[in-house]
Amino acid sequence: MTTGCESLGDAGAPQIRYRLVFAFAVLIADIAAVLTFFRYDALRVFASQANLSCRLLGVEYRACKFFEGNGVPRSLFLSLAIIAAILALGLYDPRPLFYRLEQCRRPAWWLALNAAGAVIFVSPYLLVAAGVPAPDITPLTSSLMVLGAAMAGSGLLLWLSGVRELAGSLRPHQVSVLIATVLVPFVTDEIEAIAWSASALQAATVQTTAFFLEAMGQRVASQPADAIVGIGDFQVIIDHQCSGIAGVALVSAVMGGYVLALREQLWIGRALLLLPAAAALSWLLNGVRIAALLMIGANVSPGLAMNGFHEYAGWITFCVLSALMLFAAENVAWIHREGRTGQPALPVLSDPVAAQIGPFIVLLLSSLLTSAFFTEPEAGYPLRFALMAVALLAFRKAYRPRIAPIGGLPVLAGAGVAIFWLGAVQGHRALTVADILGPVGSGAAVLWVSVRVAGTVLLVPLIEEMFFRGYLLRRLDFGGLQGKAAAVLLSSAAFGALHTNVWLAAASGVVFGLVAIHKGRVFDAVAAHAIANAGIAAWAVWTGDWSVIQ
Amino acid sequence: MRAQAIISVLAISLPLVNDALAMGSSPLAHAPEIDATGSIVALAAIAAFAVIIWERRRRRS
Repeated sequence: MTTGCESLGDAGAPQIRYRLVFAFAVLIADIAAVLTFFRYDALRVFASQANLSCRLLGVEYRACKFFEGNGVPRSLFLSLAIIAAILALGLYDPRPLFYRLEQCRRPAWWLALNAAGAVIFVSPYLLVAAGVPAPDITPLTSSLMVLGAAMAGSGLLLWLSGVRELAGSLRPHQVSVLIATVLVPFVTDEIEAIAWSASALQAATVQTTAFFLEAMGQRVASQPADAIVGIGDFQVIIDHQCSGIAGVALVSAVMGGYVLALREQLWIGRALLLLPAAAALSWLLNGVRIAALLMIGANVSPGLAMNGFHEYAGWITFCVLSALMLFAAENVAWIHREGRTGQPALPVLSDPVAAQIGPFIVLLLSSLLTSAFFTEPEAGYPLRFALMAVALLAFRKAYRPRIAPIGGLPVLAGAGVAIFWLGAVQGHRALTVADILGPVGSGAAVLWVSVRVAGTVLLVPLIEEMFFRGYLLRRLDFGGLQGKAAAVLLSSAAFGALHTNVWLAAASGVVFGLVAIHKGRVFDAVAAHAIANAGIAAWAVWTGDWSVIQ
Repeated sequence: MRAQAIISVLAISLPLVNDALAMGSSPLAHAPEIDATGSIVALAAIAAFAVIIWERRRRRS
């Protein structure tokens, strides 16, 4: 096949910009078409087909949830965030992805492939609407959706790039990872059926939990055969999902990724020992988590134990264990081929890059902590405020503040985001201070409101902008207009994925990203973000509805 | 060969990770009202920690 005529060169920048916007519009149109069919039940509206939904179609539960359940395909943002991380780590050269943007001729059949893929993706819906019974279509559903998604995605990708350029940029192990990723949806259920049903693991978890509880002087009631363990009247069944297998899989994936990324600098045989070590520790920590859950349930609050703590303590232990294992792996010379070479690194607290990322990690972990230990996580905001403030103070030596007069653009952008945000979130269930804190005095309420506003306006914009625009956007910018566009989109997708209002936050991220690259100053983005948050916080104080700050 | 072995481990782990992330059916979230926010926040925190390690390695070498 041909690869097009000569490059457009520098004079073709407007043409390239137009093509980027067009590609983005095609992507949005694909997503809109799929959402319209599956989530908004388009044919019921337009063809009077009653009760057509993806559940009735026999579309698998997960796909159904993806399109219907939570309103926003968070997985889409997560996928983009993972791509951003891969690009940020320099594992892939993104330039071949945009190769064809600079070519004169544009083969239109790739767009036809994209459109055909979108139609195939929604074809189960179309078939039922045409009168084919749903049970006849069910076995085909997954295959049609995967085929359609693959066709639509590859059509757009090949329109931006080219077969030769993509094939030439892929190495064998990258192809292996791609194939494994594609196969995952097909093998998930089969592997789960084996892994989640390890009854011996459940019984062992009961015994481990009982051991930890007895070591703390508790009188434990346990029935390993029925996977029951408890203290007094508060007893729980260790379901197969709680046997610790999920944590083992997650921490193995993290350490496997570490070994894979650094395979050329490690003694692989030694480094692979990290995996069973991490797996064993994860499983033991799961026993500790369940023991703590029982202590909280028996002595503090059964509701807190079974809701927030149940889930979030698992993620906290996963984070702590993974971080400790990565730290240990970096500092155990025995697994490294050449030990420490080159210039010694700066102390972490004086490292400018660590200072851009570290407080953001604290912001994330503080969210897990309040979700685990507070029945209403918002009530724990003072704890989050304190942890974020300590993190910023700890890295103070690394900051080189370049405070400049705030121009008109950040002010306008911040005000625009605030108005856009407040307009979009109206109609949600209101959340008052009384809902969050319960029956407390006015002094405590005023203190909580003060801390909540200060955190929202001062700390959060600084921490989030240092990470998303100061670090991520700059790291993803591989040069030229395409580089900037990709950096703004990917960093905004990651920004959106970490907020409750995913689409709103992603759109706001695009605005802050454009403000940051306008004059190349992250401070402008911090200012715009702070102004936006100040507007939203002022609305929350004025109306008493704190649901707008999410 | 070693890289293939590591990829095999990842390929086995990924379905479990995938399920851990799936909304509503997260193995760490039995109750349907609990969404997958915790999983995304936790994975983002670890990814950010890994990026610090990566950047410090890159500058040291």
